[in-house]
Amino acid sequence: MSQEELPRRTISRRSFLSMLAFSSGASLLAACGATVQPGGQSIASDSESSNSAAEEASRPAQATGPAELRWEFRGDEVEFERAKANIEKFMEKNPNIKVKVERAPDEQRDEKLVTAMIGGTAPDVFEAWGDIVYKFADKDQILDLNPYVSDLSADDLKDFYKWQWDGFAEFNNIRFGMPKYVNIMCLWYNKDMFDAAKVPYPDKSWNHDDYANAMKKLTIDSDNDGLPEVWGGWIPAWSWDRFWYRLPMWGGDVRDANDPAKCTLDDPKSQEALEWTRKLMWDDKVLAQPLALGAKNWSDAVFYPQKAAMCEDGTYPQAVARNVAGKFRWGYQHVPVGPAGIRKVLGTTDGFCIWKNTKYPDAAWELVKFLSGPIYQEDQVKATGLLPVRFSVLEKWEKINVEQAPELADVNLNWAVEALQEGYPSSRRVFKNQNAAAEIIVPALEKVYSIGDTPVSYLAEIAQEVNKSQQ
Amino acid sequence: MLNLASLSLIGTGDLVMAQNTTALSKKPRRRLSQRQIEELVAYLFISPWVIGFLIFTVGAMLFSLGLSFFDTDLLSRTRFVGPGNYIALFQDPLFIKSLWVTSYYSLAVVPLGTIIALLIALMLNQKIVFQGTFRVIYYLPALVTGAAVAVLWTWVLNPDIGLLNGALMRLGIPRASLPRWFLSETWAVPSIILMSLWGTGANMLLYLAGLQSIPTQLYDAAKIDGANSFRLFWHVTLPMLSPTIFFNVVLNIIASYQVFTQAYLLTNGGPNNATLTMVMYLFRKAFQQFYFGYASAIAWILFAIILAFTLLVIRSSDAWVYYEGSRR
Amino acid sequence: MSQLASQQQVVKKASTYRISYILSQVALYTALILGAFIFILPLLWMLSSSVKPGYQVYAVPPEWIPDYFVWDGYIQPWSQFPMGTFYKNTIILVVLNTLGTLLSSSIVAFAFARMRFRGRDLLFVVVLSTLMLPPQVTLIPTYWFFARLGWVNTLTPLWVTAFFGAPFNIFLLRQYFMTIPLEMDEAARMDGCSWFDIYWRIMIPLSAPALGVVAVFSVTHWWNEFMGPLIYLNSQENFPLSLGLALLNSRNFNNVQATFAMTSIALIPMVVIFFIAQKLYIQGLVISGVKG
Repeated sequence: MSQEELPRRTISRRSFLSMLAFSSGASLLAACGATVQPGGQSIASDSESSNSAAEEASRPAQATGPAELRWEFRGDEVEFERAKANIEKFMEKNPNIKVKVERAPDEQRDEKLVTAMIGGTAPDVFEAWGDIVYKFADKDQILDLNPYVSDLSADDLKDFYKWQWDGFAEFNNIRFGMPKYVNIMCLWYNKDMFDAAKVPYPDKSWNHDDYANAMKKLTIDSDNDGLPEVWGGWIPAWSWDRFWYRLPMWGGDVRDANDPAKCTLDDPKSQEALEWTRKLMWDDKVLAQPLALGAKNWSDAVFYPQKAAMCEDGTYPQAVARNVAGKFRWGYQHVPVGPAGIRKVLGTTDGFCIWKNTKYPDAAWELVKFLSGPIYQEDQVKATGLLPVRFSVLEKWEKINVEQAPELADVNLNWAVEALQEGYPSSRRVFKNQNAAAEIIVPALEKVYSIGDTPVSYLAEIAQEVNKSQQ
Repeated sequence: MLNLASLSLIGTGDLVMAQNTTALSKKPRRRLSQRQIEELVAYLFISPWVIGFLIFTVGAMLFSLGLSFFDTDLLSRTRFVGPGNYIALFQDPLFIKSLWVTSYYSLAVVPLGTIIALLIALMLNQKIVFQGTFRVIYYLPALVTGAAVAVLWTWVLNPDIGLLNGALMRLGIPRASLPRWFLSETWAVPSIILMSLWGTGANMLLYLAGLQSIPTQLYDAAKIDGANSFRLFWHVTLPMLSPTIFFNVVLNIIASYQVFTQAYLLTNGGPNNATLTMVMYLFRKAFQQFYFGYASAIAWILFAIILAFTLLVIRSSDAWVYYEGSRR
Repeated sequence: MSQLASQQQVVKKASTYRISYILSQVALYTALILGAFIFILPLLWMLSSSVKPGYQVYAVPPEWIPDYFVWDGYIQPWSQFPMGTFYKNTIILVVLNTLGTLLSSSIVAFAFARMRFRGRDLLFVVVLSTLMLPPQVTLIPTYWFFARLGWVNTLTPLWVTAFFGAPFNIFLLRQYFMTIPLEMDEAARMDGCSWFDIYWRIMIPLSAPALGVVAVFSVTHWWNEFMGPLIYLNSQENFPLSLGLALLNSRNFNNVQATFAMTSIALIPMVVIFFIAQKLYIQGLVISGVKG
C-alpha cells in the first residue's frame, strides 16, 4: 500500500474510537456502560498507556490493591485440571494475586484476541509463539519482559535452552514472553517398512544422501504410474517456518542473518537445498507431494495409515503412540546432517505473553514466571508429553512419557534430549515486514511444491520482490 | 414479548381511533384516513427493526465506512488518507485477483445451487417412501459446521488418498490425469464450489416449503384442462415458486460474494492465491495484518458490488416473480 | 360396440400411463438414492472415523468398519466437561433467539408484505443492505459497543438483537406472506379486523411452513453458532455446546477422532429435531390448506 504520499493527519486513538459512540447514535448508552467494565478494564487507561512508548526500558507501574488476573489457557482437559490445581497453589503462595483461568479453543483464536485487544478486554496472560506474536509485538500489545528477567538467578537462566531463550528476544528489541514448551522437528520412521525393504534404520550419522537413498528404496510404486502407493518420505512443505531449516544445512538461509530486510532465497546454496526437496518430490517421486494447504498437520494422513515410511514433523510422542496404537513399530531419529556438515531444525518459541495494557504487570510476571518454572513444567509434561523448557525437567521427560505409554520405551526418545543438549534447534527467521514477505513467498512456495510445475529458480526471482517489499 | 403486548394494544386501537375521529368532531379536526392509519400502523410494525438498526447496526456500518478513509490498525496508528485506500486497492494485484476469484465462484455457485436445490426439492416433494429420511439426508450436510468440515473435505478431495479421486479411478480415469483439486490452481475454485453445493440443504428446505404452499386446487384445475406434468411445472409450479426462487437468488448472491469459511478452513487462499476470495483477503488484511482501514475499503467495494447485483435482480423481478398477494 | 372400443382405448391408455409411471418412479428413486449416497457418504466416513483407531482413519481404500472401537471422543466430554452447563447455555441461546426472531421478524415482514407506507421499498432495500456488508468488518465496532455496555462474557449480546428482527428472516417471511392471496385480508378488514388481527389471526396460522423454516434455521444456526460465543464469552460456565466442544480440539496436534466425535455429538440432536420438524411443518401444510 502506497499511502506514504497522502496527506498526514493524526488522530489519537481515543478520539477516534469515540467517533464510533457518536456515529452509532447511541452515545448515551455507551457513556452509561463505560462505568461497568468487564474484567476491570477501562478504555481510558489503556489508550493512555498504549500511547506511552517512552517508558519501554522500565517496568510499568501496577495498580494498587490485590491483583486480579485473567489467564487464557490453551490445552486439553487433562492439562486444564492440572493447571487449575497449580494455580490454587500459586494463589496460596501469592495471596495478593487472584487468577482466573479462562479457556479458549484454538480455532480462530487470533480473531478473538485481536478483537479483545482493540475492545480493551484482552486477557492479562495468553499464549503466543514466534510466528504470530510478531504482529502483536509490532502493535505494541506485548509487555517487554527484559526489565523483568533480571529477577532470575544465573542458575535459573542456565536451566533454559539458550537458543529458545534468545528466540524470545528476536525482534523489535523486546522479550515477548516466557517459554511454555518446545516443539522440535525430527524424523519419525516406520520400522516395519524399513525391515520389509531391508533398509537399515536411520541413525545419527545419516546425511542427506543417505536420507534420499533410503527414500528411494522405501518407495513402492507397483504399477509404475509415477504415483507411489507408499512414499519414502514426507516433509511439512506447507509451512514456511517448518520448511526453512533445511536451507542452513546447505549453508544457505531464507533471510540474511544480520539484515532482516534481505531475502536470501536466491543464494546458490539456498537454491541447492530448495532443489533437493523439489527434485525428490516431483522428479524422483519418492518424497510425498503435499496433500493439503495451509497450516494443517497432515503427516497423520500418511504416517499412521503407513503411506509414508519416514516423516519429518514435531515431537508429540503421546499423540503418535495413541494413533499408531501398536499397529506397527516406529522410532524417532535426528533429522540427517546437511551437506554443510551441520544439523539445523526448527525449535519453536511457544510462550506465555503478557498483554501490555494489563493493570497488574507485576502480578502477571509472577504468574508467567511460575508457569515456566520447574513445578508447572513437570506437571505439563505429565499432562501432555510435550518437551519442557528446562533442562532440569528434561531429565525426567523420557521417564514420564514411558510411564504414560510403555511402547515409547523403544522409540528412542533420547534423541530429543540429545538435540536439546547439543542445542542445534533454532527458532525461525522473521523478516522486517513479515506480512509483506509472507504474501510473496507463500504463494511462490505453493507454486513450486504444492502445484509442482515451477522450478526453484522462481524462488530466486521473487527474492528481489521480497526485498522491495521490505523497504 | 414486550413487542407483543404493546402491539396488541395498538392493533385494536387503530380502529377505535378511526371511529372516534368520525363521531365527535367539535372543530373540523383533521381526520385520519384509512390510508394514513395503515401507514402509521405499518411504521409501528416495522419499528422493532428500525430501533435495532439504529442501535446495533447503523453505528457499526458507519464506523467501518469512516474507517475506510483512514490508515489505521485501531491500536497505535491512525491517519486520515481520504480515498487513498480505494485508490490503492485498484492498484493492488491481489485485490484484483480476489475480485475475479469471487466473481467466478459466485457466477458458478448461484445458478448451480439454485438448480440443484430446486431439483432435490422437487424430488423430495413427491409422494415417496422414506420421505422424512431422504429429507434428513439431503439437509444433513448443512448442519455440519466448523473444523470437521475442513478435515472432511481435505480428505474427500485429497488428490492421493481422497474419496472422490478414489471413485473416479474406479470409473476408469487413469491416476495420472485425476484432478489435484485444492492443490491445483485450475481446480481449487471448483473444489470450493463442490463443497458449497454439498451444503445446499438450506436452499432445498426453502424450496420445499415454497412447493408445499402451492394450493393443490391449482394443480387439480390444470389437470382438468389436460396439462401434462411438464406444463404443470412450467405454468403452475414455477410461477407460484418464483417468490422463493427470487429470495434464494438474492440471498445466494449476497452469500456467495461473501464466501470465506471454505477458503479460510481449507486453502488459506492458496494455492498461489487461487482461492483468495474478497472476504479472505479482507480478513487477512484486518485480523492478520492490522490494516483495518484497507480492509474496510474492501468491504465497502464488496458492498457496492453486491448491492448492484441485488438491485439488478430486484429490478428484473417484476418480469418473472409472481406474487399472489402483493399490494402496490 | 363403440362403447366397448372406447373402453379398450381407455384400458390401453391406462397401461401406457402405468408403464410411463413406473419408468418415472424408477428414475426418481435412482436419482434420489444416488444423490442421497453422495450427500451422506462423507458423513458416514466422519461417523466411522470418530470411533476408529488413528492408523485406520486415512486408510486407502477407505475402511468403514473400525478394527476396534475407540470411544474416547464420546466419553471424554461427558467425564471431563460440564456438559450440563454447555447444554443449558445452548438451549438458552436457541430458545431466546428463535422466539425473538419469530416474533419480531414476522411482524416487520408483515408490514413490508401486506401494508402500504411511504418509503417502503427503499426501507426494504436498507433491510437487505445490512446483509451485504461482511460481518468481519462490523465485528470490532459491535464488540466495542457491547463491551462498553458491560456485555462481554455474558450471553446477552448473543440473543438480544434477535428481538429486533433479522433481515434474512424478514425477507424470507415477506416473500411468503406475499404469496398468500390478498382477498384474505381484504375480507378481514371488511369484518372490522385490525391490522394486528390480520397479522396474528390470519397470516401467522397460514404461514406455518415458512415460520417452521425460520425456526429450523434459527435452531440449527444457534445450536452450531461458534463465532459469536467465541468472541464474546471468556468463562467456561458461559460456554454453549459449540464452543465447549471445540475445546476438545485445543491441542498442539490433530486429534481427528475427537473433532469428528464432537461434531457428531452436536449433530445428532439436530437430526432428531429436523426429522420431527419436517413432519410437523412441511407435511402439515397440505392438510391445512391455503385457500380459505
